[in-house]
Amino acid sequence: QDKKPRFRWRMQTHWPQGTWYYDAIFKKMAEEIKAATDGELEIEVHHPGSVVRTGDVLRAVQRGNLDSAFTWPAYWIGQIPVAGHLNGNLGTWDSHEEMHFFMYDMGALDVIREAYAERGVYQLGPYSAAGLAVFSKKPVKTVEDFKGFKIRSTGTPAKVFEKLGAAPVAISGEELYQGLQTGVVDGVHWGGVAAGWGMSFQEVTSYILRPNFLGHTNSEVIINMKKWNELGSDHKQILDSVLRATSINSSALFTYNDHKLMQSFVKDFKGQLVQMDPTVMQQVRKYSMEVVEEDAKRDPKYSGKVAGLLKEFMGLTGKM
Amino acid sequence: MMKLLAAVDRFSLAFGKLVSYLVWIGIVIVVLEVVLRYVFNAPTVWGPGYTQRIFGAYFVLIGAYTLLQGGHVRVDLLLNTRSPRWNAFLDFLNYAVLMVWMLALVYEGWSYFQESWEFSEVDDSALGHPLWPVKLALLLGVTGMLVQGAVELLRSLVGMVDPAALPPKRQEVQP
Amino acid sequence: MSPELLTMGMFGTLVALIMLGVSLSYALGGVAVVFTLILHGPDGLFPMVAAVFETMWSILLAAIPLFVFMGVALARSQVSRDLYQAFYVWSGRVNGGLLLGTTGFAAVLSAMTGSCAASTLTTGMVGMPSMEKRGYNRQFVLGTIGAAGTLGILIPPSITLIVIGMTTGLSVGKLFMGGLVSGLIILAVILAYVALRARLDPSSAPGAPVGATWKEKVLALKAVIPPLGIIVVVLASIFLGLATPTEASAVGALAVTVAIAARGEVTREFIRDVTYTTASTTGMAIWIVFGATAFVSVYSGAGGIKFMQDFLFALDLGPWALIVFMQLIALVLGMFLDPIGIILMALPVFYPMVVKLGFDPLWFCVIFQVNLCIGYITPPFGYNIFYLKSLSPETSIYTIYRSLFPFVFLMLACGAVFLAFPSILTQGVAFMMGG
Ligand code: NA
Ligand code: NA
Repeated sequence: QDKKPRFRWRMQTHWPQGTWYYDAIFKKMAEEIKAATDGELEIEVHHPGSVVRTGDVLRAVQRGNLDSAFTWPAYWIGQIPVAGHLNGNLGTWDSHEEMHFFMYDMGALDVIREAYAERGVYQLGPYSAAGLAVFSKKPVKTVEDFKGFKIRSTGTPAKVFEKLGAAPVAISGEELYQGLQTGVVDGVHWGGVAAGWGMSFQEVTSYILRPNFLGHTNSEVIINMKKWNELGSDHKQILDSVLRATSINSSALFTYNDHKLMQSFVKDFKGQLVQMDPTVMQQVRKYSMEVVEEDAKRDPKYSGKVAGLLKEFMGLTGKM
Repeated sequence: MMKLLAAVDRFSLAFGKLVSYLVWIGIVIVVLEVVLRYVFNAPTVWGPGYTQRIFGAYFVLIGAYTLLQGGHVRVDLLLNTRSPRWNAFLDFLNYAVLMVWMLALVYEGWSYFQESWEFSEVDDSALGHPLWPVKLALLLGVTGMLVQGAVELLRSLVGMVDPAALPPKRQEVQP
Repeated sequence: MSPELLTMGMFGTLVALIMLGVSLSYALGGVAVVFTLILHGPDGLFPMVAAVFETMWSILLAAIPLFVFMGVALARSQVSRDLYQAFYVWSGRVNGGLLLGTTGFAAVLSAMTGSCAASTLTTGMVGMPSMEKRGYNRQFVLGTIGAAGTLGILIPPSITLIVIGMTTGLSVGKLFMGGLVSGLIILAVILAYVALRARLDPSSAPGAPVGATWKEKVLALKAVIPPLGIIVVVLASIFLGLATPTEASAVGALAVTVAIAARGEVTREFIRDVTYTTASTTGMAIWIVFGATAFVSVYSGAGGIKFMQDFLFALDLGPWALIVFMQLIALVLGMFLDPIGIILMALPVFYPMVVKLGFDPLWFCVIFQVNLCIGYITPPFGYNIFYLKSLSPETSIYTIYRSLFPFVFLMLACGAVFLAFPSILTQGVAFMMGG
């Protein structure tokens, strides 16, 4: 164990330091990599902004200021549109298995990797942070209820909510709590229930909409291409395996916490879990695929290919 | 040469004054967003995105103007001493440090802008509008600061050699 | 480079440059560039430019020029002079009354602007002549104005609280509420001190020989309406639920402009003056953020922040002593540095530790903010000291230091009480937020 590492990598995350998942998932993955490589690959963990601001992590990995990052693909949709597919589209996969076979077995990840490689970055793969939950001040049940619903949303989900008749508002994370409290927004999604809990949304909302709008939202691990190529196939294999295991652990831990916190939401905060009408998810699926098609037109090379796979997936699993 | 330096001053000053009016555009956009949300229940996607763009440009482009107004505060324990040569030396040090920073920013700012342009980078919100104008503003802002800093650096060099050749210093206190 | 060497190198060079009169902003940026070159070569320069973009792209920071704008516009308008007149008329024949009124005036001004410049300078410019005329002790007056002026960043709106919100992710609304609670308490303490000192030494602050008539008093109230309107627009829109802090700042800027326009004071010259001064004042604050963000990214990227945290934990002080120690560091930094620079350099180290130790982060940050206010009036470097000197150029800097001393002590005592009895702040905020 006291062997000197052959490789020492700086890996930055977008997860705030001091959260339980920073330690239980991010740091733990770093430790597992070190143990599995017998100390040869050491990951130095870095909190957000530690080396570079979160929005520039992709460039920093490409240029070698960071060796790798444990982060959120939607940040790059402005530069790599297909990254949004890694995050996941509303109303698509329900289980970790579905997400996993879509990525690894149907070949979506291969396409996404090509797009990242074009930027000198190796896309190691996704890890799930459980579902996408909406905290709300209003008991939104039907498609009709979404009319004029002011929801804080960004990226492709915002486009889906807009088609649903909602009014997406793009206020910053720091202003969110206040925004909910004061009615600047009626609802918000910030990952799953547990992640929203970290933002104290339970204090300023009365409802959590069920089911999740997406079963699994994914984050990603990206690696500087040169650093990736320096590794032998043994280390590459270990990284792949550790990430897949991390995804399961992360998904399970977040889901477990989501359930415990929903219980607390009802018990301690007098909140309510609102079961949405099934037609809402049907509409979400329809609009989500429309947004996917629109994006595919703008980026046929990568988003177009993944959109084709996604259509196949939706048919295969009987969702459309 | 002093004439050339004064001409650069005038340009920075005029440009800074022009840019400083962006604050009014910012006020209008933000207030409009509030009105649209409350009166018409129709928040816009472009409101926040363009608020970021306007103020982002404003922040970086007012740098050289602030410099000219003596706004980048300094601890004046050793400043304003009786010796004009010593004062000129401290000015030299001040602007030399600025040069180090700005050279780095201009060098990196160019590729930052150029990459954004090349990849047609758009923002990651639902707005999805181009980002290169903001990055161009960054490049222009730090270039302006580099040029104005170089001017002051030359002045301080002159001051170290021949203090009498310099025009009197601007100094003001503003709320 | 070992973290010890890194820490001593970066902070040592920074302090040396600042002492040699290099602008804080340039020193932060320049040191960051040099150390990143030593550590990583030219490849390491990218985070420098990313730091600038991060600041540009932060929508929260857009509130800074707008809160500055409000202060500058009010300082340039007769609105503030009329408001002072109301406090003047009402201050009456009590000893120290005029100084009490001046303090209240500074507090009201603080509720309309985001920095200390406007609250301190405007209070001094409008208030000093009448107190001078009445024979108030100059030192007493300067000290009170300097201290009351620090409320500019404590009573919301506040640009430093916005930067704290940006750095920690805490809700700006909650931070504003914490600032309001602590600001009102400190205001009460300053008022009590002024009243007591005037009572003990009436010659230092003699009351008016004749008081104003009731008619005059009622008429003077008219001047209070526009400022109250502005305060309600800004604070109520944040606290009661209309707008985010950034939006409130724009609405406030518009409200100030409308109030001044209603008096026919919005001339072309006024617009020019306000526009340009807002730019250079904002430029000062924002370029410090540019520099500090770059500095912190280099220091933290090389493992400095983790080293500092490990170092502080290794002191083995126990949680409470550690909290006190961190606040003391803020206080000492406040003697030498700009508050925005302190926030950006110290909070990334402190904040995760506070969370880890299980303390209320809001409570910690509000006391941190009180320490920054104290930094405005502690020697050698303090903006309010600088402003007081410009208000009264013939007073020596040492006399100004001395005049501020009792107020530094009072504010320190307030901070200590907030620290020792967390419920004052936490319950205060909970009560106000609960409605
Ligand atoms: Na204020
Ligand atoms: Na100080």
